[in-house]
Amino acid sequence: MASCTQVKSMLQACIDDELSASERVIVEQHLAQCDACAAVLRRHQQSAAFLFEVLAEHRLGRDLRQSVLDHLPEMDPLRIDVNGVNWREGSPTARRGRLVQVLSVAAAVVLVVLAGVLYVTWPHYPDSPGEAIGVVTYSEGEVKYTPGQGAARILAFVKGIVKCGERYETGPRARLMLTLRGPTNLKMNENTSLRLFDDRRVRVEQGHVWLSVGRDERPFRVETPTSNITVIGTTFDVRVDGETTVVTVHKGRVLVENEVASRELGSGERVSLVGSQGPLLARLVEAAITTRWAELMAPDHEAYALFLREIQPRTVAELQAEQAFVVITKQDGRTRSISSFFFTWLPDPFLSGHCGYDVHIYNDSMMALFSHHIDGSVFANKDEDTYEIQVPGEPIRDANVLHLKVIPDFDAGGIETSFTKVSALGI
Amino acid sequence: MQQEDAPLVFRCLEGDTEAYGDLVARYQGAVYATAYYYAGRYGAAEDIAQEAFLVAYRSLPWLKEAEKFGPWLKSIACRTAVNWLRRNQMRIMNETPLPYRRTVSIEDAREGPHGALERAERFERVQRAVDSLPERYRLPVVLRYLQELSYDEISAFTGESRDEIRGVLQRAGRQLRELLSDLDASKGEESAWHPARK
Repeated sequence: MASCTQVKSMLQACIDDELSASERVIVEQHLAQCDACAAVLRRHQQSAAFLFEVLAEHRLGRDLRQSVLDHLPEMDPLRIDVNGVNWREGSPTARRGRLVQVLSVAAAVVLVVLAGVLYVTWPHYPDSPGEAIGVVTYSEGEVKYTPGQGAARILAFVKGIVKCGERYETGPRARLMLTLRGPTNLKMNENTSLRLFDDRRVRVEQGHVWLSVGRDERPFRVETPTSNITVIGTTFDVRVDGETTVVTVHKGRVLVENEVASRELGSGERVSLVGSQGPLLARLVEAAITTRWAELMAPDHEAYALFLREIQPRTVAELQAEQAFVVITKQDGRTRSISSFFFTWLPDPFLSGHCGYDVHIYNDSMMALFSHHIDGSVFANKDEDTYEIQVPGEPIRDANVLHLKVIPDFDAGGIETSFTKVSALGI
Repeated sequence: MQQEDAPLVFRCLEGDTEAYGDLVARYQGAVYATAYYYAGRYGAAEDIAQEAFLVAYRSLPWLKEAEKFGPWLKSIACRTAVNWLRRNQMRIMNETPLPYRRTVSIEDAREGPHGALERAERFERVQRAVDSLPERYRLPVVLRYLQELSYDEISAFTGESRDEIRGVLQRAGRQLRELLSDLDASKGEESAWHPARK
């Protein structure tokens, strides 16, 4: 005979008349002999009857068949996402196929987003050859450079364009000079290697480097294995030998830092950094003695002209630059008559392609008296350092002060001349 | 029963609306009970059931497996009911749900106001008990006790096996008895307490 537990698990189906024939026999036999189970069944029947009775009045009261068929020809457009329903009811295979499609699209989207994030955040400056920032203006012996990480080393020649991310290396008895935007002159002694991150950041790995840094709003940084050197505009040299870095300042001020200490150096001061030790003690030295090799390196004219043309073009502000001078004509209590003016400058032995100048002369009431053009070829003669402008016609009289405005004319060339003195010849 | 759906579906696809009428007759109780399960309190079960059949007819060409017409129809019925609730959200918020909004019938009048109130209370008890069941049990319970569908009919409509439905209704039946007897007990305590207060 079946147990009470077995029969109780069949009572609901018994009430619902859903038992198989054999189950029905088992249950009926048990109930005939078990009063407890029969009582349970009665309670179940009462409960079910209550549910049927209460819900009966909410049962579907009419046949929907005809009303549905009547409306079939005039059905409204679909209001639900039947495709969505069909998809859910589709076969497992179709569902898997769609899942794979959705997942593959999602994976592609995630990959694209990740690639974008990596592209934005990847530190690109050290290893990717980038924008041109300078020109090789001097080369002696075997000098090699590497355009980017992993690239083959190539021989470097004068007039070669220097780009971000390049690494330069000088062998024994070899020297190199780079002129970077600024302009900054960087001279490398033999057995030296360095990497250029950009025109204001360089890492000296080994050897001896001399730097004359052009003043710029951005600080110039030199990194060595043990220190960071920050300058604004100055001349100094850095010698790196393994863990030791020696910094010597020739002119201006330099901030030297390592992991534990920092120190600002002035002209003629030198500091040696060994590893990450502090404090940084400076001592006064004869700075020029250690960099005689650098003084002997002069830039190639054509390479420097290439630098000025390609790397350091003049800005609009510079093009509009003008120089103004004031000449006082009163001497010893009386006003002198002026017959000519003299312009003096310091000739640059390396440069060619000078610009000309338009000189406008005004009296003390800012009334224009006359103008004169100085041709650019005047400055090409390196033996001359003075130019005379004669006053046309009568000498200038009765002017206590004369104003001279000097405006460059770049038709003849791009190199400007800095006049050191303007004087007048009085009668 | 499942085997008999497919030929009707194919006849419908060939334009035989009478075949669809047979499917409606076969599933109208189940679709109505589903609609009632969602929106019966708002007197909309019949409208929703009719709308669900119309939508199903229209989308019959997209049915992938004709022998699974029942579960597919159930999904459409559920979606139609949920959409109806969403569309009528504002109206529902301002309405008193059944049974209190039922029109008073002649039978109500014969029973008098007390009889109507008692019936409303009984319905509320059943409604609360069904709502207390696990979600998976609720629709089979409504299908069984509202429309008196057999286990085979419930199985054909929900897509679950007959044994699963039998197990679900066995467990749901036990829980319902406990819930309703608790209500009886609490009601008994209340009725005992009120005379004492008087």
